[in-house]
Amino acid sequence: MSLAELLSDAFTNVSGYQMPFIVFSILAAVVVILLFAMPVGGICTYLERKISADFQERIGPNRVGPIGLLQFFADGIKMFLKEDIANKNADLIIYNIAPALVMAGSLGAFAAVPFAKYVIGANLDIGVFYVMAVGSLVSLGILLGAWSSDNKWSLMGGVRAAAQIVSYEIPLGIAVLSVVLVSGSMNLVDIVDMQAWPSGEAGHFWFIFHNPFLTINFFIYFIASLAECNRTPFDLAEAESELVSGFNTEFSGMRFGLYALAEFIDVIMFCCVAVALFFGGWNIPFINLTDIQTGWRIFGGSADILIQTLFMIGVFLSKVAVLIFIVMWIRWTLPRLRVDQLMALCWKYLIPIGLFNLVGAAIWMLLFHGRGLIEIIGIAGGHH
Amino acid sequence: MSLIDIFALLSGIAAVLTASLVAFHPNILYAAVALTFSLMSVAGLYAVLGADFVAAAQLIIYVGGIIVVILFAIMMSENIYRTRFLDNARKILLPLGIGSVLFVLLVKLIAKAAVSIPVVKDPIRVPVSGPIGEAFIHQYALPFEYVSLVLLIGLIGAVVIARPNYHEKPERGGE
Amino acid sequence: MNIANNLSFYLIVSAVLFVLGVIAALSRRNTIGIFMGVELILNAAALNFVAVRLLNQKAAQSPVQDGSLFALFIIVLAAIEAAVALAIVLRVFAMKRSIDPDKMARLKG
Repeated sequence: MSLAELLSDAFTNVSGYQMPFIVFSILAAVVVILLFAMPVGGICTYLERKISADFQERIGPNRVGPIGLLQFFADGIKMFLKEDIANKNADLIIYNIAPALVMAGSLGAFAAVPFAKYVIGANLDIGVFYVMAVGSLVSLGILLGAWSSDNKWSLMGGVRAAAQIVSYEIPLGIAVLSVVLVSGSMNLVDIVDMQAWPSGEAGHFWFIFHNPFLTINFFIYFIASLAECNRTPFDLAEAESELVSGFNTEFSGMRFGLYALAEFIDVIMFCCVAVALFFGGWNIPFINLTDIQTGWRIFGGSADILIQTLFMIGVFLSKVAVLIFIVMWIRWTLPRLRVDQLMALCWKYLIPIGLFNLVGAAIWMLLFHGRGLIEIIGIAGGHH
Repeated sequence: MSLIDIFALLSGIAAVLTASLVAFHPNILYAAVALTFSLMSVAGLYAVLGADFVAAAQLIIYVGGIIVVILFAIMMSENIYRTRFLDNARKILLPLGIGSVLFVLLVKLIAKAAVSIPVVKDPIRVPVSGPIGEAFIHQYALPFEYVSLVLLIGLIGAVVIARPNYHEKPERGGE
Repeated sequence: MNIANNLSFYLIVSAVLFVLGVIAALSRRNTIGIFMGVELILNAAALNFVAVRLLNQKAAQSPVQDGSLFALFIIVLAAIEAAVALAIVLRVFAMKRSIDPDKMARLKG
């Protein structure tokens, strides 16, 4: 589906006969954005505090609700009720636009994230390219917000963040490109479908196991995406010990809340894309979820697709949860890099290694006619 | 008017309005932000025209790259919090005159073309990302390589130019 | 009203962008302002390529990707231009403490 088709379809569905589809897509957008991204971002802040407490042998939030589960709710209400202060010399127009730009960049990318075969906001042809394109709004929002708040710590943080994000987009792009090269498609649903457990001609299993080059490129993707979301060890933009709070120092109330939430939503988004690109999305070993046939009926139709979809969402989200846990684990384990180390890591290590692996993956595709390691070793069996 | 028409109209209006801010706003940082939105609206027009790949490339290269570099340049030159242009009214009159003459000529040309040159009534928007990739390794392989060579040379040149030379002293206050 | 498939609409939008770019490039007394005008001009040209490929009857017979390819080449060349132009701006600023184009009249720093 192209963007133009998406627009014209949406209308024919309003005026014509396929009302349920537009209802479905609006519902999907609402579910994905308001009922998924926002609360999960909130829960992530709770988890972050709980996990950090665990790593530091503290208890962490435990007052609001059972084991402090409702803490993020209390935090959210506090954010809303705080007075919204702006610096006297702040540039109010840009100051107001900037958090919205960051949020738009983080949330917009979710439109193309495939949670299950039919649960996707917009099944775009250019899926993964769209995700990266919309994500590039974040660096702009951070830089503008930092400049407009009239504070030298903000400005330092903003300039650092923008330089870091622009640099790390290159290794990120190279790693994504190697997956696109192997799969021959940018459509995320197609990419996930290709990673089914091998049976007959179809399926290559997870791309991280497709060939050694992709395995290394996953780690490049992961490191680069940590830097893209300004997570430790790459949180120079908000280095508390040097820059107070970095680019969001002057922001308060819900504006600060948007920045903080956007960071978590970015993490979730990059983990979702990592799962879709490298860990087979909703595919699991040995079984093909689309083969589940129960024969149960619901509303007079077969319940199979519903059950399959629920399984797919469950599998997808559990993989995402594991990756998010690893991101938090890294945050509370590693120290922060220096600026020169940050740039050296990107330009001297990640980019050359990524390019080498890109060429390596291309040669692998030529040598083995697109077959992955799993198929070549033949664990999967069903090749006859 | 269907949804796609409304979207095209809004994108066009937004592109034009923000572009006029780029040309006339006294604050250079606002002009840069307006340029961002103008380029995003043009990306919207690309999407309406069925050129998805170009729309995404426009976003990723302009918004994620060029605009950030422009903002850097604005912030590193001049006084960082006084981003006013050195404009004066005398200088804008001549460009305005040239611009309006040019615009009248262009509109006349477009009006003439609209009646005489046949257009497609019901265009089919086919996905282009696949054909673009094919073209880059077949009939457009040479331009593609050539552009990448120019890109490499340009990047090396930019690094050489921007690298500070500590031997020369800055001229204080210009000439 | 059929705007999305109306070639004149795109041509007029691109003509306005072009003219505004020309005005910005001529009137700004700031190198970065001139550079932003040039970006508008390049965008107007790229938009024309894509619109004409889809909507002009003669151009519609060429391969589907041609308009997009021209636009992509323009975008890439604009990126190169940005890198070089802004390097020059920073260099000139380091030497002259100003990026007023009228002060860049001397060829030898």
